[in-house]
Amino acid sequence: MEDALTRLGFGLLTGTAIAVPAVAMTLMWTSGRILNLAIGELVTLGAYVTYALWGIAPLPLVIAAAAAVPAVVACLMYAAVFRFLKGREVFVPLIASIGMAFMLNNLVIAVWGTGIERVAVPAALNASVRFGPFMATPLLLFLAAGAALVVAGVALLLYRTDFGLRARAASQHGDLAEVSGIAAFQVTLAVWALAGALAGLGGAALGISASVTPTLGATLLLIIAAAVVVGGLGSPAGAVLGALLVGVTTELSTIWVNAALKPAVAFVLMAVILLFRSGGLVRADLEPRHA
Amino acid sequence: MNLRVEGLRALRLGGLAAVAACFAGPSAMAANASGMQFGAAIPMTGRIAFVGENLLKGAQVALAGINGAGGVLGADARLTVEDTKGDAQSATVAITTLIGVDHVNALLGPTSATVMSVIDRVQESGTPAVFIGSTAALDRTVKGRSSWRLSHSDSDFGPAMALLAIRNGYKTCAVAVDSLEGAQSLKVTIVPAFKALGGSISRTLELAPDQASYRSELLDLFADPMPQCVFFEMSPDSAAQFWQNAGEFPALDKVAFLGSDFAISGDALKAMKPVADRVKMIALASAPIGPGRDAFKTAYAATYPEETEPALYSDFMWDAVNVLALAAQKAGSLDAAAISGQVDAIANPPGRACHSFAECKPLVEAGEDVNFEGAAGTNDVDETGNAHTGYGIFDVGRTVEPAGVLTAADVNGALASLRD
Repeated sequence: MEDALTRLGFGLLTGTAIAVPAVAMTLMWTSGRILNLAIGELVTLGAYVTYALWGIAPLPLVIAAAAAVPAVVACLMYAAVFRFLKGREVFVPLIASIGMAFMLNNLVIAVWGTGIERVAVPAALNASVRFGPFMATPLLLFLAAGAALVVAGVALLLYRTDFGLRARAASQHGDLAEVSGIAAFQVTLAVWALAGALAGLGGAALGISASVTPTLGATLLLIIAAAVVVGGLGSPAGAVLGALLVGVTTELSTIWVNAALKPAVAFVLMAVILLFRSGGLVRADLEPRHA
Repeated sequence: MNLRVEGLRALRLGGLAAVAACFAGPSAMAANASGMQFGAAIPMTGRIAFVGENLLKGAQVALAGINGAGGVLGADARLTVEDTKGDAQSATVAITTLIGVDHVNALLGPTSATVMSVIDRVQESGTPAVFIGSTAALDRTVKGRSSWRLSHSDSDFGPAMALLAIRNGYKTCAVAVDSLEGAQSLKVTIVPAFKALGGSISRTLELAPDQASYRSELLDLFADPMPQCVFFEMSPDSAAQFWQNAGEFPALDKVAFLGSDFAISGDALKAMKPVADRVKMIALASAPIGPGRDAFKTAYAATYPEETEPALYSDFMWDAVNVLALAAQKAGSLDAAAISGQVDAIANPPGRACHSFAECKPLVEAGEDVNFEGAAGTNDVDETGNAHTGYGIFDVGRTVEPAGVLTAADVNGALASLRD
């Protein structure tokens, strides 16, 4: 039992690490049914910006830059490519996003190379502490708390502000929103900026807690996508729930299943959830109904 | 005679001939080009990009030495690189390009990750090839007719690692490897060898690459009964996450890790950095001694003066390029069959020992038999086309420090007990 609880704790930590990028992916989906697989590269970019500025700039500036740079890139991606693909079949922007991902990855490699980089963190922050059956480091707990704050902030922004109201209106019915005086393009661009920033923050957290490599975001992409689908496409709350569920399920599965099959467990979970709830666990409240 | 019909027929025949020539292999067209052309099918991007980058350095050092000594058959040798990305599909494209389009005179690589997916294509083409990889799958498939492997096999390396564990007093060990070809090949050879030498395997962990967390796997690894050592191989990208998570476990200080040559690469050291002061890691890699090694290090320092030690695996490529270049020089031709016919003579005794193209070339031109002894070992190949070498032992922490050698005789002794 204690062993299972320890793994449950591990799963929650994994889930919080991917929750913020999962919310980013969901937000991009809501803007026009765009499943953007370049989100992994935005995560990678956030990690590299963090690595580049760590120790040089104050921490708040490092975090701000890690959010801002991917935000700008996300805006450029939407303005230059994806806004013209809204309303098309889902696979069209999906293919475009794969191309975007290749471009971004090569850009990262061109700037920083292919090696493994580390963000120097004080050793005390990486010293494990135990709370009964649970174990974690102060750094991971801090990052998990940070992820919770970020997600809460996004929820407030989307459901308690005028901007959030406009964003939801633009995602659900862009034409009607325009007629109602909502500048749908600008609002959608702002949503993409927010999504890019969230992906960058997720990358910053991963870069600080693990390592920085050109494959960082790409290797987590499938698990992020699984979390989004499990939670429910179009639901930020669902994305968070999906991330936690995927994290917990994959870690607990190691009790019974060969650890080499961990990646497959996430997809088995996705298949099972979709069998019984085709829209995911949480009903989409930002699902775009019209382009 | 209808000239128009005859003309069209000639055009068709000529076109067919041109297309056929494209797939005829290296000898048809490359023999007409000046200078020996090497083709390297190596991973320049992807999970094992560091392998390709290091191999490329070895090739460039070798080519600098070859061309500085007047080239092969009086002309500068050239290198074309195709990226295999560490996956089978890209490797197939790379090989097809090098053989079918570039018509290289000799092939370097691919590596363990992809070689088995293209070996038939390579051998059917007749292009002389030196594969760079330790996978045991090459033991019986290299054949030594137009392809060879000058680097060690996991069939030797596994018993060597087992012997290393026993010599360090470790009798109960675990195995933790990722699912990539090289690690799996190593696991298959370590376990029976360790058991034959009196050891026991407490548990075997298969680690999926590129995971967000390895905490549950580490929980299993350090569970009772605690192993004395862990036979470990993981690509550096994944190992970075593994070591980061391992640092969260106090038990990390109580277990020794025995690693392969992966463990001494620059990226592996970076991956291990958060726990470098806590982990006891012993690694086996190419032996760092001998006149062949010295010649290589001198050449490497001349080409890469900013590096204190040659990059991991660059020695394998140096040996491969030199052997093939000397074979062409001895054959007096860039014809594939002619080059292949001289590889055994260059790599094996009898012959005067020499350790670089510049040293061997005048002997070859004087008609002497030579025995090239390289950076990674003697390069003596057996009837299967495989070489068998000794190894260097290294203590790995923040830096890599030599800590002894395991000779080929040591390893053969371990292999003999395995056969008993």
